[in-house]
Amino acid sequence: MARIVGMEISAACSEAVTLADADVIAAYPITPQTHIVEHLSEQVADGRLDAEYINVESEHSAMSCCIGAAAAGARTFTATAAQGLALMSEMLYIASGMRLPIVMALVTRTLSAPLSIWGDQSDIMSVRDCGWIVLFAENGQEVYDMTLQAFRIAEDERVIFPVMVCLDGFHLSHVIEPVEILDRAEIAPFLPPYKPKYRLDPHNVLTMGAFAMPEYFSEIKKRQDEELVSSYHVILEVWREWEERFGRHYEPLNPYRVDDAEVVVVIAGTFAGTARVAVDRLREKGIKAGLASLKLWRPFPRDDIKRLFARRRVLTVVDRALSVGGAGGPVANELRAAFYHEDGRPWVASFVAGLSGRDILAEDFVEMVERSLEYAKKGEFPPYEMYGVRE
Amino acid sequence: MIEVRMHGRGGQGVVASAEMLAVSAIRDGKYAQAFPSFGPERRGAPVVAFCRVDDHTIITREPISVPDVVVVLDPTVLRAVQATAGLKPGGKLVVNTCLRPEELARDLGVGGCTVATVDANRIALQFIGQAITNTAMLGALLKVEPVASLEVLYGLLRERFPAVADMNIQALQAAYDETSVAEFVMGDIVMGDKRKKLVTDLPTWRTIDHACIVFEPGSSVQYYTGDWRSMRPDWNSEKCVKCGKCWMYCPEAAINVDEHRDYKVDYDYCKGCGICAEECPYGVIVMVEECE
Ligand code: SF4
Ligand code: SF4
Repeated sequence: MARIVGMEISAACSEAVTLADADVIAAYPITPQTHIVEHLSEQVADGRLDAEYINVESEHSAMSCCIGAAAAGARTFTATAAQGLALMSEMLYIASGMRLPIVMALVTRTLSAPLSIWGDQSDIMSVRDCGWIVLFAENGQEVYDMTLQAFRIAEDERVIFPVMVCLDGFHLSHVIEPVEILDRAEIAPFLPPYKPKYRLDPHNVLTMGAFAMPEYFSEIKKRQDEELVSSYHVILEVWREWEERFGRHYEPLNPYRVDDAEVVVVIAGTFAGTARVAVDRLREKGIKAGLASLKLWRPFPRDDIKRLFARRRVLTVVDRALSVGGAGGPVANELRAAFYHEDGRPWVASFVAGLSGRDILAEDFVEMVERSLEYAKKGEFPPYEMYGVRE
Repeated sequence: MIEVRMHGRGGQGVVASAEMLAVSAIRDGKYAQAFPSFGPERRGAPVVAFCRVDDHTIITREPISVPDVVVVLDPTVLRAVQATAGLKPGGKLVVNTCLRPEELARDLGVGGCTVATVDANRIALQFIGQAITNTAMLGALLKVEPVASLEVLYGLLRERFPAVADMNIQALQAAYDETSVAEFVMGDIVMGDKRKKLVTDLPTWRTIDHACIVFEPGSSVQYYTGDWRSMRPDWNSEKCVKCGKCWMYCPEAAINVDEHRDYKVDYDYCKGCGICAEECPYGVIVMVEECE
């Protein structure tokens, strides 16, 4: 029976991997991901999880091992953060290009330099185009649920893509919260044992990772893009089933008080929680504010965005990543692009905040919303604003 | 604008000759451009290089698909690629071969163009001591299409390769003098190769495999490694003791054993590496020039 346990969110992630009965885990410890892999190695050592735990010498090797294991038909998991993700980025493209349903927890953290171990989302944004499905969790329960959902989505024969579950470093990974934990009997019908459609098998030979001449490459990439985009429908289907079975609702853009909102805060990750508090405060002040918590980053939920934000006046988009030398925050820019051809498109105020673990308080969200409204009054928006930076 | 396409094999100096041609033309006061076909480079694999020469600035970056001149540095590539593809009607085909232009035109079934031939292998062996035919073929090219002057090209060769310039200049001059040219008014420039896949046969994004998985085992038979060959193993079967060493060492598994335990080469796949000839303890196998 499901039971509520107070636990560290990193441990909840590991518990989900154990419940998913992963076959192979290959990981290299890096702050702030360490608790996930430590907990998993204990599970394997204690015999709670019958998996091959591979200690590797780098993240590049971690993802390489995952690629080999997944190609051989194993349910495969890894976790990393920041520089670790950067080091494995070469292999990320190979995992998705070879269509291997690996699941990874990305404990989002700043990319150095300056050297920093604190959290933001510059790591995930640096591999934005790597061809993985990318989910953002807002709280401990979502980390647990999404890790289980990720295996199911990745392995679906209509999908077969690797899936990354992003959880904010420290602000989620190191927090203790109540999490509803499921048992094997409950998860079994949702996540049956993995039966790969294709795998390396000496009795049924095939070649994976073959060379593609220029006359093949574009067609393969086009197919991958089409299939990544249409994995959206499977993700929604999986989320609906999850709600039926376990009662928790998921959608690509989780809305809060959006119905009559004139200004909507958009943010991915755990600060959406604080933003909800800010929305209530703004409402008390008479400002019709709302929030959309972005849960699905890839495939980009273009239709949901258009539906939810059509006829809104102002969006306050808060990115925890900076596109250095670019034209604004990464999420803000994709929202702008989505609306480029639409009549009555909303103003997009792009704020970069919460870099390298700097907190974003409810009052900060209030101020960003108020500033967005001022910009709207003037009819002029800067490309982006780095919120709270000392002038 | 004159557009020249050169065909040869990796290691034969195809790219270098296109480059030398372009630099000579530039020194002559023209505008020129030279570039290789891009891709993995491998000794022996068919290679294409391009050269454009004009009086005006050239801005296009397209590969040359409708050449005025096609130069073939190695006769064996005629088996592997459609060298005459796109050659302009009335264009020029310059080939290193021991055949006369008439014989080559008949063999290839081409017409409607000028065909020039020269035995550049022999010339290169005579003057340079190796079958590196790129300079000789530049001589043949300049005979039919004077896109650069011989003097400038000689100067360039002396500058670039001082140690071997003289022998290369001799080879170039000899090829220039010996090239025989014939014009064929009748017929079309056609030269089919049934083994080449047409673009229309290729899968679309809907039909291609989702992850580039190759399901068919042993599909490497579709790849004719024999197309790389410039030397061919010749068998003197009478001396063969059927020890099987050649079979064991052939890296392409191109040597087959028949029901009489006779060892035979499959020339579709033999890449001409010469390992069998090296390993045969009884001197049964000798490597000979493809042309012989
Ligand atoms: S030359 Fe001999 S060893 Fe080399 S590929 Fe040909 S048959 Fe095989
Ligand atoms: S190695 Fe020489 S002697 Fe032995 S089978 Fe081959 S050709 Fe014959």
